[in-house]
Amino acid sequence: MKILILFIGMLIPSLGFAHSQTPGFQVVKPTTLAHPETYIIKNHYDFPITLAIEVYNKDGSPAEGWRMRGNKYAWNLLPNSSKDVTIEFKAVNVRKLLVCSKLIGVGYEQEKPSVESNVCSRLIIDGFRR
Amino acid sequence: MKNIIATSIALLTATSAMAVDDTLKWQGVTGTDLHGEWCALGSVVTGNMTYNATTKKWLTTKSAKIVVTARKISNVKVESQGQLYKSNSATTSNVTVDLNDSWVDVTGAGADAVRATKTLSPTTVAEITGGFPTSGPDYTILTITLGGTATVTNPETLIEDSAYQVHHKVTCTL
Repeated sequence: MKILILFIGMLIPSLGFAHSQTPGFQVVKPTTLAHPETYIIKNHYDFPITLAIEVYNKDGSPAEGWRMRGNKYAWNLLPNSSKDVTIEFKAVNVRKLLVCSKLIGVGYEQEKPSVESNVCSRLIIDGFRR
Repeated sequence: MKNIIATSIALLTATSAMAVDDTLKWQGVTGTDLHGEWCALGSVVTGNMTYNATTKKWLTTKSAKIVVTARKISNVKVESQGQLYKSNSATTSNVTVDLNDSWVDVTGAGADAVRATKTLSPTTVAEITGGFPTSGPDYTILTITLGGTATVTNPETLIEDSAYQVHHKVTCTL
């Protein structure tokens, strides 16, 4: 008999175990063409994790016109630690984006998680008109 | 980020000649992020499916559960990653999961509103949209129960008496 397991049996019993991201929803009026936004990503788990930053359009398709300051796209976070990550967005026209931190690794060995949590902030950039 | 702005008031030395302003008091204003948006993946309970060789489909025999605790969010989405795994390594088979036997229980802040307005579209994605409170410090708790069927693109690649996994992604949009 073949058995399919929907999820790895991992009990994470309380609110404190998660990763988080702030700020949440923002509407910004940029002053420069490469508009910087800083997000705080935090590891609330009691084990190390690796988070990756990804940016999508409102419809879920991958967004263009953004880059991580320092060209770093993934971060290892120790338990109860946080990192400020700065993203630069091309600020042309109105852009409706989802800025997401995705759990891509668990533990020091960075094992692939069976449940990939993804926390996304909405960002509207009311950019320069062309 | 907590941001508390406190307004300090200079001490006044009152003399009998001064009128006493009894409205003077210490006061402060909390920043908007004090009870900001929040989303946490709570407990995750493994589900099981059993393979039916005739229909070449897996059918849920034990539902999986995910608890999401959230505040002031706009959307929660659960979807399969679309690949079959064997011991944490992806196989060559893609899998289509039909979450047609899924539902969500809501408790906590705004539970009635979320129940009344939520849109749960249990096909390949279990998605809850709408009704979440936009203010207040309290949390909404979503218990998402997942069930349904799974179909593998290449069933001939499956090995007898083997255990496979389907991994899922939970996306919470603030």
